[in-house]
Amino acid sequence: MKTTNKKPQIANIDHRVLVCNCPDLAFEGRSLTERLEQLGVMVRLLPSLCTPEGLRQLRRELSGEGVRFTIAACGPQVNVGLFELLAGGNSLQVVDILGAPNLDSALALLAAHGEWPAAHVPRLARRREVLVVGGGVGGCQASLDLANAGLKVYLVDTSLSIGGTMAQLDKTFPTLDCSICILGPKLVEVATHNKIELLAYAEVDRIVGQAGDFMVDLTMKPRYVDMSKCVGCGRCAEVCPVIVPSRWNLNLKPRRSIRIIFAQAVPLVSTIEKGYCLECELCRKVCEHEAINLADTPTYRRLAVGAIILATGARPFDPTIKGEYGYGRILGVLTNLEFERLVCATGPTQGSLLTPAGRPVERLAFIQCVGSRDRRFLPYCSGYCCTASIKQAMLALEHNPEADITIFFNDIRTSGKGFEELYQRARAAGVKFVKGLPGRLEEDQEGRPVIFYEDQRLKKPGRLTVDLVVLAVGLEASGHSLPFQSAIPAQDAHGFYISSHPQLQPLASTVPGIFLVGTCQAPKDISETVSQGSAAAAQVLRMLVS
Amino acid sequence: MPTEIKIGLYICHCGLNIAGVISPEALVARAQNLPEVVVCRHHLYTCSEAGQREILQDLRYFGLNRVVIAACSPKLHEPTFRRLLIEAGINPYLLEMVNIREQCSWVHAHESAAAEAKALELIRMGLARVRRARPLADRQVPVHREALVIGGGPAGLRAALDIAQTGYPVTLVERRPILGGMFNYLHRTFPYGQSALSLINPLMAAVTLHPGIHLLVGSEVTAVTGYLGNYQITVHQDLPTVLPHCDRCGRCAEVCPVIVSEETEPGGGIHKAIYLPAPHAFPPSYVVDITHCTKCGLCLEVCPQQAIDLDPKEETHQLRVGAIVVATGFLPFDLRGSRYEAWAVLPQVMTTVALERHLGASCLPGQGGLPEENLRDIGFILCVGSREEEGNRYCSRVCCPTALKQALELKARLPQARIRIYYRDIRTTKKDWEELYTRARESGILFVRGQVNDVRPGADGRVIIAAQNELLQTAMEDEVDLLVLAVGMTPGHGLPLREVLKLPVGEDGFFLEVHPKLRPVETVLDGIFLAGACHGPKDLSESLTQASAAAAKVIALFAHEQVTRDAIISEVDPEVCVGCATCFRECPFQAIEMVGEGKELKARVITAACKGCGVCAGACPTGAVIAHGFTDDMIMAQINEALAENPHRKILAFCCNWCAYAGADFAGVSRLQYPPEVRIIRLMCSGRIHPKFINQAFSLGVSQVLVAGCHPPGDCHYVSGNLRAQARVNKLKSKLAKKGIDPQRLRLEWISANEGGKFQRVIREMAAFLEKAMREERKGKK
Repeated sequence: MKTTNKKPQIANIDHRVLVCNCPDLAFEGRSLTERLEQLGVMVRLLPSLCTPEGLRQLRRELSGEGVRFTIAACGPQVNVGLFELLAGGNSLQVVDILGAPNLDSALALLAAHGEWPAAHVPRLARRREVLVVGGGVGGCQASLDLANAGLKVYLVDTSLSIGGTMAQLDKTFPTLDCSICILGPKLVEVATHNKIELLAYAEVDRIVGQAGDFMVDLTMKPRYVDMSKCVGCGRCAEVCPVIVPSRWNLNLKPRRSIRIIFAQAVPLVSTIEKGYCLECELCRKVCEHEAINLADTPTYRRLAVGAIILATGARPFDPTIKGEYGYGRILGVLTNLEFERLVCATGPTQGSLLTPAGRPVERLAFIQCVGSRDRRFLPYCSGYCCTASIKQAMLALEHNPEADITIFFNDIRTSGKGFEELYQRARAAGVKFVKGLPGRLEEDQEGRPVIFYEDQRLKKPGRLTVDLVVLAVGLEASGHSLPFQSAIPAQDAHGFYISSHPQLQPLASTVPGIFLVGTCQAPKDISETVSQGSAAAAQVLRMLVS
Repeated sequence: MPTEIKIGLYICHCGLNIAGVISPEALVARAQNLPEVVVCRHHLYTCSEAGQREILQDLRYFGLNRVVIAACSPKLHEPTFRRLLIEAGINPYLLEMVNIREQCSWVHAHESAAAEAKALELIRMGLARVRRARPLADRQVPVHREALVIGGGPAGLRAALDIAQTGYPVTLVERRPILGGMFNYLHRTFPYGQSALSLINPLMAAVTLHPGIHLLVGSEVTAVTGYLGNYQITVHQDLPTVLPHCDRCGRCAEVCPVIVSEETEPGGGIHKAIYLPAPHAFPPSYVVDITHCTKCGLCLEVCPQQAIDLDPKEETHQLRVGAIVVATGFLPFDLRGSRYEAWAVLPQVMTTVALERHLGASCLPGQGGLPEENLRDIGFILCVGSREEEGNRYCSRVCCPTALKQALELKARLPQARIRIYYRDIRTTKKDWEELYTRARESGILFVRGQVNDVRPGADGRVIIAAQNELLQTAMEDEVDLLVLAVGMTPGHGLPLREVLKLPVGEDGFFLEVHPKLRPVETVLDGIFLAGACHGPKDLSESLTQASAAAAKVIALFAHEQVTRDAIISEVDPEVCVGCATCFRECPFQAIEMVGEGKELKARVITAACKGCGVCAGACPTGAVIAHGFTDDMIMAQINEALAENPHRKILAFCCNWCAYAGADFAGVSRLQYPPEVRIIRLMCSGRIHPKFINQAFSLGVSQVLVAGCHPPGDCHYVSGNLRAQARVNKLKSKLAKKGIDPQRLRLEWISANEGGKFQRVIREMAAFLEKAMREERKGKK
């Protein structure tokens, strides 16, 4: 009995403990019951409770009335409410010992629960409003599905327009559909839905509360333009004398201090970036709708919601740190997102595929796994980049059917619906695939990038001079943290949010009532993100409507 | 008094998608003075908020009552712009989309002038159509708020539970006598190594216990009729041979003399003719394998519960549901009949599925796991049945992590064993999968990049793998005690359902979604959704995510008491009808009734049953049937406009909305180039095509006519409209011959939604025919 002196006292549990002999416990179920018995607890070891035999025995145990039971098994994310269905007239509490790393912590968990009141925990308020943080395609999809099912949705985005990264893309794989053409109408649908309140250009200041009843404080950043008056005509930007780089175009294109962020922006209104503004008031004078308000100030909102969906996205890996590839040093080296803007009709060259020196691109190379699958940076595979590069190679061929295109890869990972077929089409179209990631990039006398590589198949070093190099950069966690003031959804070592159960509940964060959509959880492509948006909506509906 | 027609015409640049080939400014200049066009504009992206706002302002300012948008396919943005018209208080059926992207700029990318001329003609055709368009009223139909889920694997379970927990009743139909699907064969899951049973059992148990879920195991859906919100389902059920009070004592199996080899089961194995299909089967009872049972009756004698019934009964259930979730899952690639069959028959060779059953020895009744003490050398071959030139071209996504997980488990059990993995690319594409690959390499598992050419028996009961090492550029041979083939996924048991549900499948054989990016769980049939691996290879979390997504669509649908069905249905004009009952006989949906007597006998459309295919209008000899949205005068006007200039240099194509038109769109999306001589007229069904349309085209001097519909027998969205079209075309061909028109000038083709390549080929062939005819004509003139 030496151990019991050090262990928490469980003998005061006066009801019966039923231990599930789950094969996935970190310890032997038998040893847990033995320890409990030594402590004088009424305990039964049952076969896995989710098997027919376990259920049969559990039913028998629960057949009496008015007994207090504690079931030591898995948490709600695994048992999906199974035990409640069987409780009948008994009070039942479930302790998650599946999550316990060892026998002692399972004992401690049971001891802690022993002090709970026997009655059911009263059901807390369940508000039927939902907050969606992030207006990329995943957040928009979740908002639409929730709103279509009748819930009120607040969609918050920090940027001037919803649309996220998908709005910046030229085409999507594997069908080469025009990205904004398919996204744009969805954005308009979000903005015009009577159950969705769109809160763009807002910051979340505080999130407190618990599942069913969260309180969220927001700051609506000043646009210096009255949204109710602006019609998005763009006259103001025509007269604005301040020219600065457009971050939305990845600094590849100039814009004015007052501007509409992009042509299909939702909401379609102008905004002044006050840091650059000279207050010359030219815009105010030219605006027919008297929408300009240089004295605009932030406003504040407080929302009460029942659930929160995080769709805050990820960011591309910054390849500057991988100095050997010369990004930022050699002009002809771009990231794959910059390439999207370059070939897009609304991009810096109106869609012409040109080198920084203005020449047509004849030789083009893609380098895969930049940042990804690299222990120094992102040890995981970012998943999207192989297919994205192959798509971009196909786009380059559309611009110039004679272009000479090489893709340097480690493994080609086109494993999504229709992706392998796109890979085969690219091979048939003459795109060259070289196994082996280049060691370094240099510049030749004319400023063109020279790639030094070793073809692993030929075991021969080579060098290739091209007009443009596209770095297929991985995705990393956004790095922004939201101001949670009660429970905080857990993140992994890379900063991605963790699911409460990555297999069975991929959309639930570790905090009940907070759900995860899209790349805030791990790198994903668009269709996975869209599916997740709908799926998270289903989980919220399950929680708030029933 | 008819109101004056005022048309607004909008031409979209679609960035460079259209403007890169055709000049929208030039089109505006050429089209703005066409009759009744009050305003004509071009916009960078007409579908953007700015573009839509501009149209809205024009609608109000100019008092427009018709809108024509020359942009992308109506399949993409017709709903968007219809909503806009509704917002402006204009009937949404007074909109016409002219497809100058998928069917013009994308397919004539290198012929700017011809593409621009064609775009203008397409616009004229659209204007002709919209002038004759009439306002139509959508129908409100009630939603029956119960769901059907087909398939009891993880995806089906999850979808059923999500819907039921939101408060709507669900019927779950599973083909096999037990739930769990392919999970019954799995030992552990990747990448975290949890036991498969501990993941799936809670779901199965919750579904079994949930009061809102009606479970039909041993059942198959045999018929589906109806529409969004109101589907009628017929389910055929083989009632259980062992009744639910079975307590699984197992005496029956002990005495059963029949041993069945599970040749058709993934991974193989053996069982008695009465057996427990999985160690933790749900529902929890034994099952009689009726096809192998000899009815000797030994089991009946020993069963203490008297739970066995050797005369299997059948039952037919009729269900009414508002929505359907299809979750029919996958089957592992079947080695039989493939080039791997010769390898697979070797005793040392097994598939990853079989290995899975061996690793969890309890999963394979009658066999006690692997002879581990004899395993010194183990080989894995990846991409078996995937990524092949012949066979399945797609990547099955889960085989790499499955093989890595298994190799790691074997390595942990047998640290001395030498394990080699033959691969082409290692595809651990998700965040937590790469870790498996890293761990495998660190644990000493060897990876050989290359192609395995042959597997043959070696000495001492071993097998020899002959491979080409791609990185060393050498041929190599390797002798192993156990060879594991990582098999891919194939569409599985959903295929027979394809014809029942009328769901299209892609080239890979998996069910096709509406849009791969933005509508991944929806199908072309409203109210029918996809979940899990029936849509394409997926792992567990992806399947469950998609299942929840499908559930969200069902829940959103059920949040409303009524849904709107479009107004594209038929109506009979009793003034013109002569009561011949041709339409009555031809209607695939019994949606026409004959009323009145004698001379007053008239056809009448049963509105609620009509699906709007227009087969009746295609058959009517007097033109009494008005197919709303696709009336005779609209189609005639399109034909006349299309053939107004150079008819002898034109190909007129009548394409059904669901397959052929979508196939032409797919050719566009794939940028498959074809000659610009073709003019496409969209109809809901090829069965809508009346012979008078084709006669009119020939009388105007068209070179050739194409009638394109869905593949018979099963693809037609309207049961048999395609066969009606076939019959009419064949009849017409002989009539044409009598008139001295070469019947070859009328062509019938079946083109499915994913056969962009076939559409291109057909148009190229027809254009070649046209060129030949022109040459001969020139020769004749000389």
